[in-house]
Amino acid sequence: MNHIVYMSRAVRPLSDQDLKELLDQCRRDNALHDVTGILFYSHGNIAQLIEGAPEIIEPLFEKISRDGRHSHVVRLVNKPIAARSFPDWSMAFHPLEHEGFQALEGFFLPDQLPPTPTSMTIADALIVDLVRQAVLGAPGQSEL
Amino acid sequence: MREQQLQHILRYMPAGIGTLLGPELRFGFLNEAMQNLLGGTTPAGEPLTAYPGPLTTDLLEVMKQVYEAGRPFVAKAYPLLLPISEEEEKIRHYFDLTLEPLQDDDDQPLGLLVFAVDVTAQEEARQRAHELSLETRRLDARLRVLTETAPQITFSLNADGRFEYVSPQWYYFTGQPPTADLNAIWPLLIHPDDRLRVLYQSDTARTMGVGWNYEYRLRRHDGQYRWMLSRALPELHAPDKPVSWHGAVTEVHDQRELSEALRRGEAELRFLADSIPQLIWTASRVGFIEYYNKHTAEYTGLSEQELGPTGWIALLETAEQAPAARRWVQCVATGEDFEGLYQMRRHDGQFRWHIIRARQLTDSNGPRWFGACTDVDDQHRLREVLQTQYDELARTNRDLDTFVYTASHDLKQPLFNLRGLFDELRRTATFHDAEQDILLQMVDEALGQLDGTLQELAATVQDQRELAAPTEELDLRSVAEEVLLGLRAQVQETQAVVELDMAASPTLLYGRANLRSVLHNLLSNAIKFAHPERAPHIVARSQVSDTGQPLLIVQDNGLGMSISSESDPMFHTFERQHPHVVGAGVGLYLVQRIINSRGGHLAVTSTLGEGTTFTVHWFE
Ligand SMILES: Cc1cc2nc3c(=O)[nH]c(=O)nc-3n(C[C@H](O)[C@H](O)[C@H](O)COP(=O)(O)O)c2cc1C
Repeated sequence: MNHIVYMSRAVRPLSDQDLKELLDQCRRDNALHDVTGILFYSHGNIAQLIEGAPEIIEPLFEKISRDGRHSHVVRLVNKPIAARSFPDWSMAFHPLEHEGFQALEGFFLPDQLPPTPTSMTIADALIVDLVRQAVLGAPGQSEL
Repeated sequence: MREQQLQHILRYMPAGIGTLLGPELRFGFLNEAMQNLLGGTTPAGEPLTAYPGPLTTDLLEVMKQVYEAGRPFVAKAYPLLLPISEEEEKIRHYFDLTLEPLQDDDDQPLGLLVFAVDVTAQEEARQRAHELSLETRRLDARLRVLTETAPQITFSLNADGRFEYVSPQWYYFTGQPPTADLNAIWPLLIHPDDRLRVLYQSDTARTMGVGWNYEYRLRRHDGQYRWMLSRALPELHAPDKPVSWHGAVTEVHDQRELSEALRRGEAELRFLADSIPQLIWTASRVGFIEYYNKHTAEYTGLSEQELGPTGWIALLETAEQAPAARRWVQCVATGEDFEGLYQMRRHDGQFRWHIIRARQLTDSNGPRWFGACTDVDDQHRLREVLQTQYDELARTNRDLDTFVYTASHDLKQPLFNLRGLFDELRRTATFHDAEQDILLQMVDEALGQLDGTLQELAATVQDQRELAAPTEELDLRSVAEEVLLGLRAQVQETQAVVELDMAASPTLLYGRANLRSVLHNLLSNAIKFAHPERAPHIVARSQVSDTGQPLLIVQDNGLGMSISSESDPMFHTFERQHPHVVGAGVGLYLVQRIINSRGGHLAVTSTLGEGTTFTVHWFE
């Protein structure tokens, strides 16, 4: 079991519709391949953590990093982990339109995001906290 | 029949054909094209001059001369405005007009054969071509000015890689004569270390039909090698292979030197960072470590890869990890400095204390974090040892106090018993010794002294514990009266007169027990050191000093003493000069300690045989 964390920039801002489609497609494909994790998105900043078997997530990361919707993909870690920390695949972002997102499965508003799982080592949790802060801003920092 | 056929052919020919007869050039046979050309009105037998149509007078004149001279003439691309009718818009047409004299068998002139071919399309094309070539020349001139004034060398290469053009800047830069053989010399001017690479790269690009972009050093006219950037693109004539390459060579020496210097600077800093026996690291704006120095690997036994972007946190003592991580996230969010004392695990598993400091600095690449972990383990351990020793000393001190207190307390009972037994003995027993009275008195005195010492010891320890007692606003007179109540026996025994005058400063902010202790000791001393020839007269007075601080003055008319040296502790003086007065030194020692601990001091003036005055400066 490995996890990979990367950060990137969207080539152009992703609309709510783009994100909804990405969320749907990823939830479907990731469930199929037993991939879990989380994606943070805000104002063109992207960070993602994926967990799963290395022979699955390494090619997946290669595919994602070639995806034309984003660029400047920088991988922060790819390392073995003791266990999964995310029960399924989810996404956190500030939608332009709040309505309709509340009901979406696997979607979180940034301020409703559960705390970083305690099953992670503190060093790994720190990575998640830092990428989350880099994308969504510091907690309590209001969203314009 | 054949005649008719011929007429038919001539009539519908796309060129104009016609005959003009006689010296007046009268209309003869005119086919349709020629009739149209002449404006449509050509009555047979009428002279041309009567209906000239679009023909100009100089053409009519030329026609007449051809008739007379009998020599043919061709007017090329002769412009005529057609049609001549008023309604339609006139358009300039061009004709090649052939004028052929017609002669009879005796070579006498008969007329003219006129042959007109419309060459308007050809003529217009020719004129367009002419205009285009003018425009091209203009553009060419402009391009030349541009290429020859821009601060770069421009060039064109043919498909074989031979130079077809190079701008004059090449000659200025290299200092070569205009006659130089470019293809032979250019490679020779490239720095020997770069030459093979450049030739290979341009050759590869050419065979692959792509452009290139590389840097190399080229020898300048003064012999200096300068860094140049060479870029070229192929000119493609699809679908064929490229026919030529066009490009530019730009001097980038200064930029390159600058970035080289930057690289060197960074490398030097890294070298320094790698040579220091400290853990040094840099982190990105968002808090991920990008560089650890060599010593980090040596200390932790982990590679940069193994440490990862947040690996340092895993090196800390488990309990310190979460708070340190929280603090780091917060620092990254706010840009505040990170600083703390942490235990960090060494490669052998030993934890050593480190001060971890990180600060955000901004350079041309934006904000970055610079961090250092300094090993302070030895200092920290030393401090710990000192602290332990200090704690031990303090405990020993306390134990001693307790011991003294309990000992004095525990000894009181046996002493009491001893005195009882002794009194009983004196009452019942008879001693056969002449000096029995003296002996008895000595035992009595010794017992009394022992009792006094024990009491003083107990009081000392007791008071010492109360040094740190809380302060309150105290009424000096009432506390003094309380104390005197405790000294009632001594006062009565010595018939002492004690005056209290606290009007000047009636209250004091002090610890109650401490104030009592000070008053008790000073008043009881004044009674103890009474002059044998007179009853003690003691005055206790409060005052305010020049600096506005409260004072207490206790004055007696007792034995007095000679005060020799300032540095000699006061209670020693008393002790030595009055060995018969029990426990006086201990009491004064106590007073001094109390006053000093509250930031004040005790002063004394004395005259031997007359009395002593103590002044308590409660606060400085
Ligand atoms: C930011 C981002 C994150 C993505 N994350 C995932 C993911 O977790 N799982 C996944 O299957 N595809 C993910 N994709 C989509 C893939 O890049 C790819 O488009 C998708 O898997 C469809 O691939 P396919 O056309 O080969 O089926 C992501 C794309 C982007 C831009």
